[in-house]
Amino acid sequence: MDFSIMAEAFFALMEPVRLLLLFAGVLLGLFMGAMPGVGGIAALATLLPFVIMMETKSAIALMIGLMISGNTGDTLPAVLFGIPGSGASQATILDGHPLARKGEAARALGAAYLASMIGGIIGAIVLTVTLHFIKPFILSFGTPELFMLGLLGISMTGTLARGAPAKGLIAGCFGLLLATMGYDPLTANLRWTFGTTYLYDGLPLIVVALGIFALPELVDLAVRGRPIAENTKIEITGSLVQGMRDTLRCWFLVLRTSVVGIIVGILPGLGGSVTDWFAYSHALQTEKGAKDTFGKGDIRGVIGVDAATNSKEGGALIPTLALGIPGSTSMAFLLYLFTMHGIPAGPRMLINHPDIILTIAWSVALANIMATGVMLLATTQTAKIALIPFHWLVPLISVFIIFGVYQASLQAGDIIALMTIGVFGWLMKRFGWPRPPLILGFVLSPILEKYLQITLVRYGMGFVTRPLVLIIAIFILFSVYVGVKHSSRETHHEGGT
Amino acid sequence: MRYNINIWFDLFVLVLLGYGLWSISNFPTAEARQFPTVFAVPALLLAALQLFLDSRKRTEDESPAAILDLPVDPSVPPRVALFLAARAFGWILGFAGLTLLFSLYISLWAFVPPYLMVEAKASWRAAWFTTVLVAVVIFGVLSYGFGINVPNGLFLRSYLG
Repeated sequence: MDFSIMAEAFFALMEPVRLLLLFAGVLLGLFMGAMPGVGGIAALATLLPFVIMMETKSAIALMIGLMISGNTGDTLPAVLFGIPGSGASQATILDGHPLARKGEAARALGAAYLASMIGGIIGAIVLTVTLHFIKPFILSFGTPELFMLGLLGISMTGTLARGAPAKGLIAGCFGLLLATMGYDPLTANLRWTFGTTYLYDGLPLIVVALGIFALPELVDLAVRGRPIAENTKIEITGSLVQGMRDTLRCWFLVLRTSVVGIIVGILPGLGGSVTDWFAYSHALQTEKGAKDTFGKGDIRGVIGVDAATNSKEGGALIPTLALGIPGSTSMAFLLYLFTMHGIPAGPRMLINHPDIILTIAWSVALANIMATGVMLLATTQTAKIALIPFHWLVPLISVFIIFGVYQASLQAGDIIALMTIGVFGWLMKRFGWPRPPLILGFVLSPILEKYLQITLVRYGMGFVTRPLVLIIAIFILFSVYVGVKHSSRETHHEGGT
Repeated sequence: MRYNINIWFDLFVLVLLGYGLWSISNFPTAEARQFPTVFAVPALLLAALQLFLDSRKRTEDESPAAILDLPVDPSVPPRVALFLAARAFGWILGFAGLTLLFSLYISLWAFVPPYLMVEAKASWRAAWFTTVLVAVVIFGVLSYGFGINVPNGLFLRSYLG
């Protein structure tokens, strides 16, 4: 491991502007996390047009700050109001909210914040070490294997959509197809341009991301209108320090659930919404007397979950950086940032841009420290965010979306495409069609098309007999099988109740 | 037995993919057709399967909350949600249209204060104060500070040449 590059990346991040951007990202992430219903992905999509114009390391600092701190901020409404700030904090409610009702909200929050920070730092360390050691293995992958890994990422993200594996897979394929609009990269033939020059270069990701994620969330904010915690008096009783002591006392649990978070993070498609449940069930099965006390306000339930939800980001970054296969929407946006800055994520990044990888790792660690620091200092003030009526946010976010989408190509087509895709995205959300696979497909499409063309020219259809390709194909089939089985079990369960 | 509304969206997706597959066949070269075909065919088959599965359900059950996605607020009845969503889209569309024609320099002032006063029931003082703050961030920080372009509207562009 080259420690000089590590030190260089650290000092690059310590430059005041980058540090300030990291902090701004952390604040924004905490804001989004503490306000249930807004969603960090929508915020990330809204920021994307501005972020890609920044210098690479500054953009990384801002994006990582936003991506990481949401996992810390979302604990607050989960503990205080029993409402998850995001999908990743559902299991925190089980023990966090009973603790708050017993008058020990501050203890639960103190424990959660410190566990989040330690989990996040463990994730960053594992990311750095893993990427260093798997480099030779990753470099042995050829285009057929990378093509199949891309398919694996989409199939896992698609099929793991609860109760709707077919919808997830269709959404993934739809994203792949949507990105083929415009010039075909090999022959320069036009595809699906509908006679408009706007589509010659294809749809910009900014427009698709804002349309699929930001606009539907904005409309749903307007539909909801009122704040999430209306007429609620915010009272945080108990001791933050006691909670932090609890976390240090349970250091082995923190370590174990952090590893659980990293493993779940590595698997594409699983991500935030299940990490907390995996960690909670691990703590429930392994902690002494947990079966009697969990769910009734046991601090270990909070600690286990929060360590895992923050460590998973380190895990999720491993396939994104090493293979160029994003496992979640936020990782897809990060991949897009690299593309826009001419940095190829995947095996070549490990060789040519170790400084970028280490900047990301440092950003993850620092963002976790900053988020915990802010929350420890300003928990009561941050909790008031949940009292802001959503109607106030709608025009403010609208302005940023419209301003941002115009940056995509400075054409009227940007706005028309945004509104069209926005309506489609809202319908997808309403009818229970998962949107992340669509974005993943859209981001991966140009890379996969290139890999497929190279593969077919070089190996013909014989590529399917390569051992690694076969192994990945088995994984793809297995992910589809698990998705279908899980879905049919849920359908059966619903039918039976 | 209630009729399942989900099938309308399933049908829409199926038609969209069907059109997609048909238009792929019109792409001039095999290379251009290759990649989209690989994904359009399974997507179309899956869409047909999804339509079949949903049509057999015969109940307007809760849309399965996608595990990776944000849930829909269940406290708002679907009909009310549809009306409110159409209204929200109307506001945003109006704002987008104004921006397209007259640029953000004008549309910002024509959209934010009325929205806050009508929908959020804000006082005119609070609404205008908020708008000024947003204008400072957009025009002062992002446009002037970071040099991000604020495009002229189509009307202004043609008027100013």
